[in-house]
Amino acid sequence: MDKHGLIGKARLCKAGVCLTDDKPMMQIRNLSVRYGSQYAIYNVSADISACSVTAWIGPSGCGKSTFLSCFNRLIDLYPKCKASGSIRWDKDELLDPGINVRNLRTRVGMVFQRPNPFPVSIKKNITLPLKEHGRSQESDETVEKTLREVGLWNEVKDRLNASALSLSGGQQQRLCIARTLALEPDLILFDEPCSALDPLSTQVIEDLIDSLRHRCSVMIVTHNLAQARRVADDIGVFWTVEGGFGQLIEFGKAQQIMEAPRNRQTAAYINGLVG
Amino acid sequence: MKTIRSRQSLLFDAATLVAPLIILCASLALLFPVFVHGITPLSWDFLFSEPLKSGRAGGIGSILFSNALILLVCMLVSMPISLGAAIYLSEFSPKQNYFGRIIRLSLDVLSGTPSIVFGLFGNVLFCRVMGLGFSIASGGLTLACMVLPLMIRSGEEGLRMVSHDFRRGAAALGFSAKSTVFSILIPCAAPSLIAGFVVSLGRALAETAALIFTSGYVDRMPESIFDSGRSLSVHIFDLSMNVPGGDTNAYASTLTLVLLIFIINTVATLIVRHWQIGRNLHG
Repeated sequence: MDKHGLIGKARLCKAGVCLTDDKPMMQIRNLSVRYGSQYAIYNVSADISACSVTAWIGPSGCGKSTFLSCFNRLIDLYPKCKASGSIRWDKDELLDPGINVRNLRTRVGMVFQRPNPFPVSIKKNITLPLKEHGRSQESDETVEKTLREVGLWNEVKDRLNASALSLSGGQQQRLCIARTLALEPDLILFDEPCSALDPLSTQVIEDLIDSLRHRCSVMIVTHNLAQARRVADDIGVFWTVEGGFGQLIEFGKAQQIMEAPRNRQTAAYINGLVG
Repeated sequence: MKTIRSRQSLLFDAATLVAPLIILCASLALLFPVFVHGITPLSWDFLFSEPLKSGRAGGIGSILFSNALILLVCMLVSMPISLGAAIYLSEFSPKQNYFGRIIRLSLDVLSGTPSIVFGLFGNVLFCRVMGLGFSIASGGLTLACMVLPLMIRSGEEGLRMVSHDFRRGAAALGFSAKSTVFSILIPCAAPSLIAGFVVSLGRALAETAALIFTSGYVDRMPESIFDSGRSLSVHIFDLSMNVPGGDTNAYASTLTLVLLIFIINTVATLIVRHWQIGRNLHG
């Protein structure tokens, strides 16, 4: 049984659809990404279950962030970056060049390493994305709802029109999560969301991630093994292999990876011997 | 050894003191007579009344009005073009892009072109080929060509300085390229865009050579932008070179021009400074 006592049982996702742990929500097959001729990650395959928190860990430069950018096609922003293989999600193939990327990015939210709220008011940070996707009419309640969800409402309710840049780093990061939640994504990608934050803010963000699993799936890239242990249901370990590209060397339940890793390098990494 | 070093250092100190003094003296020598001779005839009446006797008497009302119209035409034409070009260069043309490189190269050539060349070019294209004649429209369009490189470069610079994090954030929220530019990047870069416009306005206001051949000499109150209109700088040039006895009003007009440019530059500096303070505050 996992820490939520839910192995094999039905989980209720936000849309009210029952998904079971046995049936993967997303299938990643032979995913490779290269910049020009240099592979960043090579031949990654994994099954992601619904409403779970998946942590991707590994040393710096092993392609974790690149890997994460495939799920919302942010890799499209980099001219020489090419992905091959397959990421199947329901009936959609995420790497299909013809997929509607704008829609995909409303389904897959992303929170970055450095908090990057737009330099406009706190409120506008949430209403701008809503407006962009033609959902202006629901703004005010969504602003309150999402700010409550990230625990920011009481701190900012009297100054919603103040600049988002006047918030502290941790608050900014929560605002970034709030604006992502406003679009009601099914999957949220966190790219080392706490590495620029102090321990207290980190704790708040981790609790938030923990609470998110009831409404969507979460993928988090982290350097912090303790963090992966605290928040993740599943863990994937990336490693830089010969040739300079990253590979997924082990993937499984968090407890198994942390306590009984099968791969020799995973064991060494988790015990702090390498990495 | 010690004395040589101290002598060198003394020399250095003297040089660093003398250089700014020279600059101070030069600007004083320039501005002092303008101020002394120009302040007496300068009055509200002078600013708003029409010139009489080829400018020897009367004021500069029609000249200021013509000049304002020339600047208006210049800004109305140059602002949208420069904004579009700046957006293209900073957002849609990577540094190595061939077309972008050609545009940047032509901007460099344009910004190094003497204004008299712009004047002759404007005379041929706007006055003759387009049939606008000596008119405020021709003058404004010529000035627009002249300030474009400055505006585009400062606009591009301003847009490029907007952190890449905002672009990634906007993309991750599914913003289209158009909304990213208009909802995020332009508001972020607004202070530097405005500063670029204001500096260009000052440059256009100070321009003489490009206007002599395009907007003409007529010192009457213009009835439309297709009338000829004399700019302040052309008026000063005419009074001091071609009109005997026009010196007093030439000084007053010069003082007006200097004050206007001073005001414009101060506004630009304030905008940029305000922006920088804002940036530092927010880290």
